[in-house]
Amino acid sequence: MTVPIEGYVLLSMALFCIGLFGILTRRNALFFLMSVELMLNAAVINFVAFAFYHGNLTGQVFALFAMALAAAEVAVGLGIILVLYRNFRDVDVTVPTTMRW
Amino acid sequence: MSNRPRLATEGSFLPGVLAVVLFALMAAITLNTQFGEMAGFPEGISIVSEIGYAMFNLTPLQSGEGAIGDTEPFLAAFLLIAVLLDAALDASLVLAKREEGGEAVSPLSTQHGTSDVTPTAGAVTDGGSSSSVDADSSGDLESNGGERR
Repeated sequence: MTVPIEGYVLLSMALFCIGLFGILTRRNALFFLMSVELMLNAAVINFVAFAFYHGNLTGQVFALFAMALAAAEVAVGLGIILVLYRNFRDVDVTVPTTMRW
Repeated sequence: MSNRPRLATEGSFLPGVLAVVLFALMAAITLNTQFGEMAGFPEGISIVSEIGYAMFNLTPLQSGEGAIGDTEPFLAAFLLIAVLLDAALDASLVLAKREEGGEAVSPLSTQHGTSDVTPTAGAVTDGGSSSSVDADSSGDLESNGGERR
């Protein structure tokens, strides 16, 4: 039994929108990072699903690269949050406003 | 009193409606789109080995006729990602470096005076503060990246 491609696309959309919801409503920088990861993983689900849809492995290989990109992003993101907490004693993204304009 | 970061629960859920509306819109579009059948992969071929051959440009080793075709070579992308991960590691180390009195303190350097510290002295490694360590010596022992208070 094969799940139709619509199922994968709907799952990926739901994951993306959960991530977007987190970014729009939260103020904690750690939640921001987690939400961005959710959105990135939604794209990865699409890559793998459409690789199977087309009978081609390019999407699966690219999904691996997207995961490596996510790891790099988390490393830099956590470093930024560390500096944020060290300077402002808080991880609220609305507190640092000096670089806003 | 602990000085851990607090969970910011305040804020409005109103902008989140935008995400829900976006999901409804995209779901309506998806359900009204006619997708074809899944092509799938042929039986008896190892997907993992095919991914490995594609990742390292080993096209002669890839399966031949009637197999998974048109998988692009990815060796250049693999090397670029390797450089990117290296750069991310360097960037995170630069960000984690802290300054004390205008002098950069390397996060990976061994703390001075660790040889004469017994384990019972309670070197703080979990980000918390140990009650057995007095306030004056905890600055040398803490390895949690926090600053002296």
